[in-house]
Amino acid sequence: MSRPKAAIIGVGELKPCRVTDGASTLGMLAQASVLALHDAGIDKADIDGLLVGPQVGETPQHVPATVAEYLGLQPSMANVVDLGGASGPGMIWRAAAAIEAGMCHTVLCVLGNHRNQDALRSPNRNPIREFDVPFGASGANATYAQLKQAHMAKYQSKDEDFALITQWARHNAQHHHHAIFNGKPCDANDVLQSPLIAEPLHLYEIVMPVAGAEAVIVTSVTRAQTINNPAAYLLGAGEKVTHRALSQAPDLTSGPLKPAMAHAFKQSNTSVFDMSLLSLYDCYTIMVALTLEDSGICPAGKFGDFIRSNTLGYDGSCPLNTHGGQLGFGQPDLAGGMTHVVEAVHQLRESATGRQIPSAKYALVTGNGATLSEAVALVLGSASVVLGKPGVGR
Amino acid sequence: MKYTHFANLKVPGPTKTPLTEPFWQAAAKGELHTQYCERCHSYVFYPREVCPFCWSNQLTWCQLSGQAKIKTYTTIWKPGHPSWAAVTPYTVGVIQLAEGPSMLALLLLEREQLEIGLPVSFKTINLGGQMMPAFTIPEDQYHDK
Repeated sequence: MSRPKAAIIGVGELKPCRVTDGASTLGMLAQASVLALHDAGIDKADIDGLLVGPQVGETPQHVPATVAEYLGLQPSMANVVDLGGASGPGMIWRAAAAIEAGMCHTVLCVLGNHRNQDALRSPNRNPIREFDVPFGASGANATYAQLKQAHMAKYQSKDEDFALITQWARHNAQHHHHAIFNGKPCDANDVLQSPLIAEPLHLYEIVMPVAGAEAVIVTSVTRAQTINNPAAYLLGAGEKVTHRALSQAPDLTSGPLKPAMAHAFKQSNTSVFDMSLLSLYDCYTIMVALTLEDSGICPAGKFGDFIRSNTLGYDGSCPLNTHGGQLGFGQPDLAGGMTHVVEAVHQLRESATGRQIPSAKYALVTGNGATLSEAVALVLGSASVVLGKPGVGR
Repeated sequence: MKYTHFANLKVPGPTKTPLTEPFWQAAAKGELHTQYCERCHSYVFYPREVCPFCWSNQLTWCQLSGQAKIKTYTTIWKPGHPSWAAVTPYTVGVIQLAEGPSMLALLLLEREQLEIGLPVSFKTINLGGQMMPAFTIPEDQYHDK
């Protein structure tokens, strides 16, 4: 294991919901930020860095200043991270880099979205709008359906293999009371019986869009030792952006997470087999399949065999998305990618009440944006592996 | 013809720019044109100000063969844009053009004909008054005009 790059000292998460009535993104960001601040046990005045996501339809420009003003912050480093579902993990290493560069010492990373009925869409003028949307291929479903189709054709993977991914996500969601599918387990047969949305994707292989917000506070390793709260540590990160439109993707059965994960493992001097938790971005079942294969935990085309020979719950042989993943938790838009960070932090701090992995040491977190386009991978470690003693700072 | 009802669709059309106009003018004539880089000898799709391979601005327009293969596809039952519901199920796919580039387009094939790697050829289809690229089995030379 390599020297830790930063510490995650606080997380905050709103319980997702299907619709909101007049909520503002800013208001939801504020609520999640307060939760993270309280979780970290620090003062608002300690925050001197801010990373936010884009706010389509609400604040097209000047987003960091707008959020900072709303929260009463005057950050020494502020920026937008715009990597789709990889934005959350992308914030974590950027926060560490900004701290390392001496620009700030404690960074609030926050994402959120409402689901009001009157949500506006921004007008677009770009190649996707000109050369994809006019063919009736707008939205992510058409894209990930084509990725699943390519995988099934190349490897003869089966619908049943993909359905097991949802079955496990829903299984794990039964142990997280925030999850939108808490109380609603389903099995592989239910997935296969659910309506086809874009062949070969069934409804239950697709995340449910929800409103929500997630906040994470990152600080220096040194500063984390002065705070009376357990931390999780950033050990390595990787990032890769390869294209925007699916038609321009260099590969349809392997993605930019492959080099991103390799970089994160190299930086942290770990391998996928060291991980106590796989917290893998799962907008669709195919995304989990591709990420497992790209991680090297199983050969290309063999994710189905891997899932059948493992148990993926918190008490299983290979805990995967113990919060339910977005397939079980719901996808609060860009904040969905941050749920994978928040869950990894809970597991590594041993605060995953009711679903705690025993002695969790390392977690792999992945984020994926757009059409298998934008990838971020993080390796996080527990206090016990970083500091050599369990429960430091408690 | 089977796809004539597409002519009545009211769906978002392409957001053309002066740079991409030759592509759409060619499509209106039933032809597939794209850019060619005179410096690195690559075909470029979609049209750009500079070649994405060598960053040269020596891009010229040329007509492509229209011969292609299906890289992947999906038949859509619940469209991302509600206006498309009138023609579901319909099929879109990523097409590997014989000259190299890939593009997305409508696939005018029966569902049982669809197969990754299948040779297809270019044609155009009237989508709500806009002639749009599509691909079908090579035997079908019909063009909406």
